[in-house]
Amino acid sequence: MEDVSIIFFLMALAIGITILHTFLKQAGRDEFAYLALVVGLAIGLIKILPLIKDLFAGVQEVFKLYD
Amino acid sequence: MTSAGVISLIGLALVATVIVLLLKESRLTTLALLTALAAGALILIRLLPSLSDLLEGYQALGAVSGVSSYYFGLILKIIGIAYICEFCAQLCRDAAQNALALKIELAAKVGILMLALPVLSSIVKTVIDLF
Repeated sequence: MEDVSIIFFLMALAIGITILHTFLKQAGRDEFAYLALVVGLAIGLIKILPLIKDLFAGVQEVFKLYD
Repeated sequence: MTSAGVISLIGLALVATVIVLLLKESRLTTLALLTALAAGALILIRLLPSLSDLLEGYQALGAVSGVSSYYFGLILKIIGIAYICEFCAQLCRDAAQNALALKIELAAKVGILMLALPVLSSIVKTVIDLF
């Protein structure tokens, strides 16, 4: 995914989660509402991990930090 | 890093700041921190190629000046450690985790001092040999 769109993906994810969270709260299912938050966070994390890995690999390669 | 590159970086940073604020307001502070982390990583990744060209230029300059490339490799490593530890420490400060930020900076200092140790010891030896 081209790099800027990761940020927009996270925003869309956040909006979806907020809507789901408030909807579940209205429906009286507070525990599912909280669960939705945790799942959203997990999705965001999974989305960001390859980016962090690329950053660290790039820094290691540019600055020759191999030990 | 052309001027257009810098401008696109500024755009990226502004968009990311606005989105982080939006997330913070809707009580999703963890996702806000994640977007801040992603934006920071994006900017650093974009800077890496031009940074490596810059360092190669300085390395060529160093080679001309006759300084042995060992010292330049050391400087390169120190800059690398500072570069990545600063990124992480500032991020921890964003999340109001000053204790964590200070620990990461301590780790960076230890790493840099470990690298600088051989140079320091050689300097001390040469000074002692003078007398």
